[in-house]
Amino acid sequence: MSTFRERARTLLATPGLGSAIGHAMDVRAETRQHAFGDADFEALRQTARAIRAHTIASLPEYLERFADAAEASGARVFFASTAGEAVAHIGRIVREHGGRLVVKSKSMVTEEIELTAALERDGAEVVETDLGEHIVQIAQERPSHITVPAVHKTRAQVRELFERVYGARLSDDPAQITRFARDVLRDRFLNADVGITGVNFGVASTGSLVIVTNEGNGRMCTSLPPVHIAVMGMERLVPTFRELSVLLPLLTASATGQRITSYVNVVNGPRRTDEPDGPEELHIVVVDNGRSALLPTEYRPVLNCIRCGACQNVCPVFRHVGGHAYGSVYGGPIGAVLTPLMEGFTRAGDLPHASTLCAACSDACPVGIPLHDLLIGLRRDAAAERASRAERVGFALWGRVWGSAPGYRASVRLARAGQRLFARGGRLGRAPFPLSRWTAGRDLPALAKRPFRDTWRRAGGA
Amino acid sequence: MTCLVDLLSPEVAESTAALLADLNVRVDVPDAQTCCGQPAFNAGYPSVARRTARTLLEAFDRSTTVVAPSGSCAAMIRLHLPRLFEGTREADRARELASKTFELSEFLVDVLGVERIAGVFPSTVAYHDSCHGLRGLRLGDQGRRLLTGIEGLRLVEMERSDTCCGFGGTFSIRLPELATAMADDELARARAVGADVLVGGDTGCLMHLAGRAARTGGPRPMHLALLLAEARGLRASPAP
Amino acid sequence: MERSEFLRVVRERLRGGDSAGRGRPPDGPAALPEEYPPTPVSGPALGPLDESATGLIFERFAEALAGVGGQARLVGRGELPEAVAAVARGSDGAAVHDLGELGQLVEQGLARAGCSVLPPGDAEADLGITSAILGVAATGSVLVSSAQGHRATALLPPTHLVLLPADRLVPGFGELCTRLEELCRPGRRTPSSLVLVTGPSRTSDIEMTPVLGVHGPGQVIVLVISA
Repeated sequence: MSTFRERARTLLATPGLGSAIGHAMDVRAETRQHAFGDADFEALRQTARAIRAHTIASLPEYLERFADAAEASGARVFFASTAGEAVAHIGRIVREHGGRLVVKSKSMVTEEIELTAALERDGAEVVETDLGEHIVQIAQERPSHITVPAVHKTRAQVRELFERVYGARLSDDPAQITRFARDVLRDRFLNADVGITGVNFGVASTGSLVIVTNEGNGRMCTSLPPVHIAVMGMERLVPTFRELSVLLPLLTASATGQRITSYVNVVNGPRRTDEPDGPEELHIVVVDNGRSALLPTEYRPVLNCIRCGACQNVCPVFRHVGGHAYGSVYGGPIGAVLTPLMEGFTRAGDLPHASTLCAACSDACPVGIPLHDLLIGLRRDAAAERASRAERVGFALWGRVWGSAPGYRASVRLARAGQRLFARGGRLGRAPFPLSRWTAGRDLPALAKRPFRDTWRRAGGA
Repeated sequence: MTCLVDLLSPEVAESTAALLADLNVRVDVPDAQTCCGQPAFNAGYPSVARRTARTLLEAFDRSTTVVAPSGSCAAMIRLHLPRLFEGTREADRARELASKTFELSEFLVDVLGVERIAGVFPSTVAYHDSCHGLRGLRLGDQGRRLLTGIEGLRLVEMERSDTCCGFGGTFSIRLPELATAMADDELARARAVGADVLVGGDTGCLMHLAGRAARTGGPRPMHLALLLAEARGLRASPAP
Repeated sequence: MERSEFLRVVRERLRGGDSAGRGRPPDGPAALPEEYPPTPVSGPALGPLDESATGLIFERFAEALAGVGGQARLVGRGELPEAVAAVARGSDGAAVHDLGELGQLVEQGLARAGCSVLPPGDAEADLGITSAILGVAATGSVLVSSAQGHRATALLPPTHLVLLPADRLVPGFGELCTRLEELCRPGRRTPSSLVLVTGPSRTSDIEMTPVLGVHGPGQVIVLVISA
């Protein structure tokens, strides 16, 4: 099991990665500015936060209303408390309907529950239809960003990939590659047994599913195959369409710098008997998978998340290494918070430290999640659970010694004696562990000849 | 004074004291203070943070105003100490300290009402906004405004000047390769606008950037207090 | 898991059971705010919809749609056949929704362009013609309903031609959401699919390079029909 640092080092050394991600972030920053225009982001943010907090505080009532309305429209609603339950249920439905070909539209929750692998084990062919997701699927990699999953790849790499996997002869032109992908995927859409999508928002008052895409693959997955399975994180509800009028524009502006996506798909049950096409069955799978466990804790605000990726778009750490460094479904600041909460500190205890706490993420979050504060909370919980004795003792000792001015002064005298071995001309070019990590790339200033407090005292405090 | 300044950059505290005295502010540096507790707090050890932060509650008990030449320390005191001491005997004192603590540039501009500082410092200078100052304390352009009166000083803006430099306290040791990459990014952006000097309000950031610049070259990171004091001729001798 | 059991667990955790020693959730307002601030797609404030307002709202609509790579034209009923012919020239076959009284005018236009009318929902059509039940001026969007015909007609052909009566234009996204709440109310005969279409399909997944025309139509033309 690798650490964040190990993965970061590999990624830092990957040529072109940093500039690809940096470029994507710069484009996003510009389009986001344009998308928000004169709108009062702070006011919108506060409203959105209140809407999310209210919805989550009354989640059982809204889930009940949602499920009733959805069932009244002909959908079947299944509540999955674990990933295993969700996967088993979906697997059953797929098998019941032929189980050969499944087309999938982008959905973070389906990656969380590792749905694709499970369906493939059952013998199904599962095709990711979002272009970026398709690219990482055939490359057998994980997405590196929530909204631009293949941002880490150059056009040349994408071309090579398509040539290798499909035997195509293509140029590096993104338009040509896209047209090729369109043809390959159209055939899949038209022949699939099942279409699986995520849900951006479920509308509690009407039981509607709101699914947004730019490519149209969402519409394909919800309209062409005879069965549509929609997988939804349990917290992704809005009370009514009125709340959607605030949250959806915030999502699109924050995620892709758009005033609106090309398609906003509102699904109300399977096709009606008097409609000429559309799926005969609609199954909605509502997934918990660790979300409700956050409700009684200080981490409840993380459930406000609408998966826009704005935090990734502004994170200076993410800029250099991308999503793969986080080793999990969610990367960037939201990943640093969610992953330890969902997977535990043994697997992900180093993620909360993969941050300088610069708070750019918290500032960008359209639903007001105080990500940087939550990271400190997680560091505290991780330390309590699994800090090494050395670290715990070290900090306790530091607290004791620096708990008073005399102790502080004594420790400085000691440090000064110790640094004599390393300091040259006021700087340390080398230092012992752990400071060696600093001096590998940077000089370290030596302790000043005289601490300021001594100078001040000597000058009579004037 | 902050522990980093006390131990590693005392000239910053000297400059701060000299600047304030020059503006007829009565300055005291209570000796009881050790550290605001931020390193322990950020590392996940709030009880340890309380131990050292307590020395500040005591040291500044009788002060009317507390000025820190550090955005991150001022932010720690204002944003975190009240909650850290909630439910303890020191809760009131922590809130009181928070209400009277300022970062240097915001004290000069917002409290003392200083509009410009006259002085001479011929140099092309880029401003580094520290994250705690910018997003913690919501500092605006106070630092830049203080530079406008200085003869010979050309203020330039880096691209993405609000991007973190990569210090982040223990981050700089836990993830040194990333910290170094982030420092390189900032130094390159400063160089791109022709800066000779990179001025900022936080010793941690400056130490990290200077340490890297010592190996790769690049603009000279410098604390705002130091620059202002030198510009006004308040320093007996220039910093090493 | 049974719905009742699932919700029971959620209720219990909301009440504060088993926080595993972690801090409490933040206090804060649990009520929805009364007023919602304007969003980037709130749309122009309009007075009563008279003729001049129609012109203004169409201009806004056309500008927004052009901004995302689509096209809009304001046409009178008499001009409709020629407007349709202009779009259909070069297409071999069109799949067409049931367009009510506009249907005849559209067929005239198709005939003029030498474009045959295919069975509705035909997957090989290069032109799909539908109506829209609503248009949104702030974004240049049109709402297409599965109650008007095959979903495939607005989705598969590379060109999508939309007929939108001018009185169905609303200023912004807020008004759209009000209509959606009505349209989707349980107990109504709600269309199973309502799609808000804003211009052509697009992606920037390769090096952030914008490409128009992915799975959905690459060309979207809206004919806004004045009385």
